[in-house]
Amino acid sequence: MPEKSLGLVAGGEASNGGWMRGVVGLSEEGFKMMKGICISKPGGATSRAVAQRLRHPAAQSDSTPTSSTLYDKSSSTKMKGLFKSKPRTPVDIVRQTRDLLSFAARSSESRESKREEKMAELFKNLRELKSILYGNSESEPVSEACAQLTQEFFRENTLRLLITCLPKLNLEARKDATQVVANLQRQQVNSRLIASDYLEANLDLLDILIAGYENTDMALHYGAMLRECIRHQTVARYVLESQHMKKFFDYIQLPKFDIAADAAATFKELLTRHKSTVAEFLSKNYDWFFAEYNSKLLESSNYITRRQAIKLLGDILLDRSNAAVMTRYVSSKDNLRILMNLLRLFAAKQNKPPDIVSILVANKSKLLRLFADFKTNKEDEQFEADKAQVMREIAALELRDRP
Amino acid sequence: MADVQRIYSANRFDYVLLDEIGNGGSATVYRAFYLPLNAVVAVKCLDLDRCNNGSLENIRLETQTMSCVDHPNLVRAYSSFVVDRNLWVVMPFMSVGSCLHAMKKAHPSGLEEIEICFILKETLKALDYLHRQGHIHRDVKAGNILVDSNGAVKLSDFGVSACMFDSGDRQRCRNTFTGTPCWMAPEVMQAETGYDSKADMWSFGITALELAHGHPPLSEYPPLKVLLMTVQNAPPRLGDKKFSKSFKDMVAMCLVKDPKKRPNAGKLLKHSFFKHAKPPEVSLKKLLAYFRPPLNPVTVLQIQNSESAQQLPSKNMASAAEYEARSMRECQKGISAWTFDIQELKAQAATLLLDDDNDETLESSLVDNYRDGLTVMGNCNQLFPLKC
Repeated sequence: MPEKSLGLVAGGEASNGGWMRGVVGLSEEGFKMMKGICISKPGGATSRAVAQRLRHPAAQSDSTPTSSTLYDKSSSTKMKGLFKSKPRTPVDIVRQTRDLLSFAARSSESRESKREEKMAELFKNLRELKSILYGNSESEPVSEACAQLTQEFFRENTLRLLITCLPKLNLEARKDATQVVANLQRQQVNSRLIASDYLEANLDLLDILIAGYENTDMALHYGAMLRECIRHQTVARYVLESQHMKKFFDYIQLPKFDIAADAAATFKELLTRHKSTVAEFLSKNYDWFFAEYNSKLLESSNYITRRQAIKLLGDILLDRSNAAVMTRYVSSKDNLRILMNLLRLFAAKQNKPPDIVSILVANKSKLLRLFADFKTNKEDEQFEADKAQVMREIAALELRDRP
Repeated sequence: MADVQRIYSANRFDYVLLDEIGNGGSATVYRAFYLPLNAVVAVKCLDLDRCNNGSLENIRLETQTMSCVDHPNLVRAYSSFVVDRNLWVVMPFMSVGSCLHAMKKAHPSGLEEIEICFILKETLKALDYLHRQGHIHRDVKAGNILVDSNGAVKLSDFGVSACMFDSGDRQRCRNTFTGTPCWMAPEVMQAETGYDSKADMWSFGITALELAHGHPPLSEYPPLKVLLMTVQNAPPRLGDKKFSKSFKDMVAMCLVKDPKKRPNAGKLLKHSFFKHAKPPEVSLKKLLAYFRPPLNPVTVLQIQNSESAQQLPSKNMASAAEYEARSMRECQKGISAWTFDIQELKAQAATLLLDDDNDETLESSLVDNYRDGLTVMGNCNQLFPLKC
């Protein structure tokens, strides 16, 4: 890397100092740890790997020209002898990634060739971050290194930069970034999920992630990040109470299956993970939510949408925390008609799959008895006609109908 | 960045299904014509009625993996969408078909070393890419390696692939019992130990033997016996005099029982055997000559009358005999959706081996079924393969 770009990469003088402290801090920890491990478990293969990894936090990555140039510039010769491979600490990598992301964010100003070089550097850094968090085929992740990485990542606006720059990355870097963000949601530092704190203060990032479903290229990456972020209850509450919730009914029916299915998975997560939040949301938003649910999902023309919607509705209504919502749902005639229509679809389908026939046949007498006792207070021709058709279909079923 | 996801639409009327090229379990693969681009593609039609809700989630993951891979040696999903009760997955059309199919037609007793070297090297590049991303393919075999008329080689079928990084957690290892028995690594069979991407390296070694001999080792035995013999016996070797020492050495490196001692895909790519790989026009010249050039898509379209063009071609379009033959051929790939109780299986295996009298009859019926391809249902109590 040319000398000129050094300032930018290292983030100036102050950052150089911090970088040095990072190296020393980690190595001390590393040696302490190594000593400890050697006493308790002499020569264990894992402990050796851990110790080695702490000494070389960016293990498996080649030492980059940047880090070595930087090192020579800012360090004494004494240090040089100590660290032969001139490793970068997780903190260094996060900082450098952040600088490169800021560069990418305002990139149009710079020359094309320089940009390519920096983007390549950025992609490599993202891969290194992933390798520290997940380990690789040779080594397991080291919790100390992960904690340092996480802390530095959320100290500043790295996540915001990463999310806003994601469209500028190539496919592989997007996938790496997604896996890094997913992992960071679960990293605890001093038994706190600092990702949750960060997101709580930056809830507008969720708006970007959700809008990703409208962009074919970004949908799967933003979608995967989003699903990890709503593991935090406050984040899930924000999404549930936002205007975005209405959009999910359209996203679930997008023509591209992979994207629609991703939106459906996120929707399901939102409505099942945090029980009390979900119950509160459903009772407050009952009317519009179930109106949309019935008309857009249960009566969708898309087979998968209908099928997933029935399954999810069952999961929601049968959850004990949603008992009040369930009572309200099952006291509506419209809801009953929609579900009966669905049952009619199952019963009326020609060439029913064998397992469906078996279920219907096994429950034949119960179903018929249930329907026979079904009366509405008012006369309703449509309802009676639907009912009669379902009953006819079920009554005619026998096991030999199995194809 | 020209992204295929935007080039190929999700509109069924842009695709004209032509003839059936493969059939396995709940999916049928058609050669198809993509009207906006005048291009031939392959469309996999998956019958959703035959998938339970659990497998819907797997289908989502498979499709997402397939649309997010970008490597010349991997089959990418161009588009996927729901048509009636089917899921259509649009993929590149590979005119020669699978290596297994090519081999059975052109050299039933095995390919030549120059051909094997090229095919394996391309496959290994795909595995290297997948493993670096944290994926395990779990079903590497000649039947899943596709070749097109230019000699491009692509690894396909992520139906049972697993991601080690699923949902943000590094999973130490997988312990689902999945794959196709002859190609399965010993540690995959011993469910208690768990396995990682090195399991693919074993299957890769078996695939090398398959390409060299026309069939994988132990293919004459029933699945249960294959499992037992793979775990108990010494690993198979490439012994034939006609093959080079470096080929034999490469195979031996993959077929080591201790997964830790197997090289990873990246390392194996540097093996001297692969240094001799020639470009496809040289290495696959003879093989490709067996397969006539692909039909001109325009002619195909004219032959195909537009009245039936928008529909799924009905099975009686091809004569019953022809259909039967094609379906048999594809079935030989073996259907590999394995998830079942390993303990149960071991118990079955033990009785099978103890009871010598039954062994004889059981074996022959199993072998017959096995040759036709087989399915073993999830958690099944009786282990008789079902005909597909």
